[in-house]
Amino acid sequence: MRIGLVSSAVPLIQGGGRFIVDWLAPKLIEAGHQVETIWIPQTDDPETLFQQMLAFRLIDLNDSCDRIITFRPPAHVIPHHNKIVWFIHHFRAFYDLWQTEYCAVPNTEYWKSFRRTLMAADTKALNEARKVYTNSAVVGRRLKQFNGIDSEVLYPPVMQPERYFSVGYSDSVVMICRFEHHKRQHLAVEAMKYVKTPVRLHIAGMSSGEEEKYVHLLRKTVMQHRLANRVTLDYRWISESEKISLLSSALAAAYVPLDEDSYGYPTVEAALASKCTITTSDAGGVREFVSDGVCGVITAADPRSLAEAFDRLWSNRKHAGELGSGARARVDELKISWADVVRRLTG
Amino acid sequence: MRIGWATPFNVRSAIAKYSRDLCVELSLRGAKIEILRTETGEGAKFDVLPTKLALHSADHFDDATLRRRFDLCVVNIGDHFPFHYHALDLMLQRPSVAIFHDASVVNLINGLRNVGYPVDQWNVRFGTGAAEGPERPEIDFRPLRFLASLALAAVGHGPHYIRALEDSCPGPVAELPLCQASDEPIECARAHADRFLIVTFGVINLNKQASRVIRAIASSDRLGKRALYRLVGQIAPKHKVLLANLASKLGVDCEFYNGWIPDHELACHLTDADAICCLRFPVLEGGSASLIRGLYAGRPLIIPDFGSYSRVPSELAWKVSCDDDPRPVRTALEQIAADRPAADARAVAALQWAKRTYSLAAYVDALLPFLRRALDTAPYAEAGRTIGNTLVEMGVEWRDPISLRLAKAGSDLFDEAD
Amino acid sequence: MKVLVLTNMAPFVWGGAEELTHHLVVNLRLRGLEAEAFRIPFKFEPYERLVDEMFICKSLRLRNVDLVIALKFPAYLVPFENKVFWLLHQYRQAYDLWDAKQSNIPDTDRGRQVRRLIIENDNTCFSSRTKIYVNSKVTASRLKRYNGFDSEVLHPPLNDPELFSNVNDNGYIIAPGRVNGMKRQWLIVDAMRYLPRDTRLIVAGPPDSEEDATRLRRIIAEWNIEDRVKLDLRLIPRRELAELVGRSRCVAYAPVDEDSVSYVAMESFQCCKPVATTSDSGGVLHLVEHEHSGCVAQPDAKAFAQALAYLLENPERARKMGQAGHEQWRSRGINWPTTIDKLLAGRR
Repeated sequence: MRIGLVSSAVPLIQGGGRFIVDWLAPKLIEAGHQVETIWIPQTDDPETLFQQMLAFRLIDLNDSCDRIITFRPPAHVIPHHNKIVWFIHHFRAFYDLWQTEYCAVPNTEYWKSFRRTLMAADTKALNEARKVYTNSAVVGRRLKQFNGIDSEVLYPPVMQPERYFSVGYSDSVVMICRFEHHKRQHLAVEAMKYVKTPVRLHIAGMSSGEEEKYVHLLRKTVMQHRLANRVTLDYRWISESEKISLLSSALAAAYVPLDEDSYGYPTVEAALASKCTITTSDAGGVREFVSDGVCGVITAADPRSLAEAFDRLWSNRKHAGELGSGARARVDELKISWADVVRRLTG
Repeated sequence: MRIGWATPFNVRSAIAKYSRDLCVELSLRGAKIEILRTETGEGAKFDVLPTKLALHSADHFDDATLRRRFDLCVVNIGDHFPFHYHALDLMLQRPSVAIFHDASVVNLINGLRNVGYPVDQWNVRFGTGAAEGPERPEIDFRPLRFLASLALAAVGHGPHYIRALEDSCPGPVAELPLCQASDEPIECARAHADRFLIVTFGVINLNKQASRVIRAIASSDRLGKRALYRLVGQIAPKHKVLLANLASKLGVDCEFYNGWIPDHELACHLTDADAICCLRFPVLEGGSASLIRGLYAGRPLIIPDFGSYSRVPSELAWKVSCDDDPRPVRTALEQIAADRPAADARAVAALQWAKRTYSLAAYVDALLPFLRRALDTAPYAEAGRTIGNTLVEMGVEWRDPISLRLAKAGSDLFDEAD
Repeated sequence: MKVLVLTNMAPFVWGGAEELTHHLVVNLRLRGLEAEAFRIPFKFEPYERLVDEMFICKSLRLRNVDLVIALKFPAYLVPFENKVFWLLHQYRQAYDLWDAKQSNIPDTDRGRQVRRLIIENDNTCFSSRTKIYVNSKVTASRLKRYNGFDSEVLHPPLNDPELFSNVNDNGYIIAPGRVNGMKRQWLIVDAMRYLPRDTRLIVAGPPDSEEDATRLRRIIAEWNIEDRVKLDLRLIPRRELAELVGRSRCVAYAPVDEDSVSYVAMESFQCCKPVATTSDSGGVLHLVEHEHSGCVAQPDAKAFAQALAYLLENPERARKMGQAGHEQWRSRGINWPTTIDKLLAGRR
């Protein structure tokens, strides 16, 4: 089958939305399909959003592709006779983040109407799909709540799960994800002010240029509280091998985003290295993977509670190991595998 | 709903009075309204209508402020340039709901041309207009189509220009009967009990067809010398001489009450009438304040069977062809004169009907949901404007097939299923 | 600096332009820049669709990008302030192919309107004070002739020069590249009938159609020159191709009015092999100089055979010509580092 993988993207920003596509393509090729990956640039600017969506709507892949699989919005508005949507999130400022600090438009009649128009268009386009999958139950619930759309959860695996391994449990809690305010690296850094054990924190990742202020702020916090000897801020792109190596010896992973759409690759990567993930009760999709005391730790979303969790795992390596094994088992339990993904996307 | 209501707001403007009465009613229904005045030059010299509503000049706010301050802008458009000058700039700035009070806006556009707007380029973009559709060839609809194309949504007050609005406005279009507060009944002494008094009122220009009425009277043996024709309102001296000469030549008694006539005085003239001739040819306005005024007078009324006039049920008024033929007018006048009690009864029934139909309440009942609908479609309509800009930038001509394809793809995705 | 390469694509079609795009990105990254390519799907049938495609591109928006390098119509219409063009070609069916009556746009009122839209949008886009590079003199002269814009020729370099070297002289002639009527492998094969029985020609490349392959076979059968000509009609892996060229005596390449200097000529000179070509081969002649770096013959089989014969009979001359071609080609600076320098210098 000639399969077009179509997604919108902001150029030169890596992240879950890009990985899910890039990692899927070779798996589909292995399964004997022809695959073309199509990235269409897009911005969230509300003044031109509808025109951009109209442009997507005009894209015609009917002759060239036997099936398209769409990912990030508004790729799902592309019309196609055989469209599968693997929905990873909405334009969240107009959906679940409406009138939160992440929403830049005021709550006026006009923008309410804008929001309704967007929702109606999304619903229309999603209803045209032969099948809608989501990357998490959270996103699935939102689709049901806002668009009345039924979907199935299809958990995205990481690229090469077989490469991960564990060599034991060191002093370091690692946190590997993009530096972004809503990923809340600052909670973990601030937690280090309150820890009582010699536990260490290693944060690594890149960001889009716009988040550099945030990284600067984190550095300042580290300086101010004299945490430099125990907190490592690796602000750079971490290679797969480095990541695998870091996780192989970690004590545990920390992943504390605010109301994330999915369980997040960091959670699964840690689990593949038999490391549990420490997360917060408001982390959204992460909790689909992590159950407290079985394959991870769930704390309140404040630095002191996180500090306690760090200390507890440092003081009890055996427990950290048990939770790590639990996390590894959870990957299989949720059927997070490429074989399953390929089967369901090509069926 | 927070509405910026753009309108002239002086004592000489009928649209100003309409706006004031309507905005009071809208406020009672919970809308928050501020008036954005559109007059310029001599239009701004007249006294402002007294009101408690907040008043600003329409060019007072920038786009960002308009957008923040109001959920919706409503722009009233009439064919008198000095009263409606700022309407265009406001519409260019902020996609608005346009209420078209006139079917022809040629004078407004000419006014804009005179102050330097590239009017003729717009007309090119909007084709020949006049000859299209079921519209009357007497009216050049191109300027109307141009303005409607800028609007989020459009309201017309009569059936004769709705098609032109629908053709060119990207959003919803509604025909609402114009509204007007009804006058308190006034007791006036009848000065001419022995005569058959026929009244024509308003600004007496050629298209009020006073000469048609004079010819009708002259041709009727039955009315004969009993008829007295009274013309109430402003009239150009040249035109007055013309009519006076025609009347004396044909032996018709004709009297003139000219100049600016205060409301209560006009009311007396109307109450006084045995028949009111409210004729137009061609019908350039949208709804007709004169028609409503005539109906509210409760006196037998002769009207053209066209435009907003055609919406009056035939059994309530005397409808004549919309042309220059005096014979149907003579027939109507003779019928009224022949059976006065029946004619009076018909006029009273017409008054009751008019009070229901042209009430502010009825208008607002229809307008509010329409404004909400306009607001619903506003975001995509605004996108339509940026899309249109892209097409213009591309050099795509008006009505290029791509425009139709985009409209189809757009409504396919963004229009909610009804 | 963040660089986005913008071009168009037809899904599942991969050719020279795609290779170029890929290597452009690789070489931008080697320079330490953040770079990637977005390829916007492009469908030009029915011709009415061209207007939609332009609208799509004009409606897309970019952020997180410092510089766009735009390669093809209509992707180069995506609005962006800081853009450098490196035109591989325009939409030729609105330009030279229109004049040659080989356009998919019909000569009707609507067809002319669509063509006008393409030309006008190109003109607007190119007039934005932006540096325009083109891949060949032919593209440059078309751009000048039809749109009135000056441009600078920036030949696409060889993507993998490290594979190509002078391995040996095994004495055979190689004719590499896509096989079709315009590339005129049929002329080269035809020339073989004038050469001695012990000469060898290898035609190495994928035929565009079965007819193109059949045509070659028919000539071979007609003149009974099976022993002289080997047809290797497939997409040859790059390493294998480099080996084939690297062990040849000379390269035969006789396209009709080629746009650019051609990869075939560049590969040949990278391997220090002389090139036999025709006097009507267009861009190839910007690189191949008669009796200096190869032989330029009249485009008929007999004349071409003479050119080949000369190279076959004079191995030492052939070697020197190949060497001269190599040096001349090297001196032109057609390589990725120089190309990237120029592209980046074109930005505001």
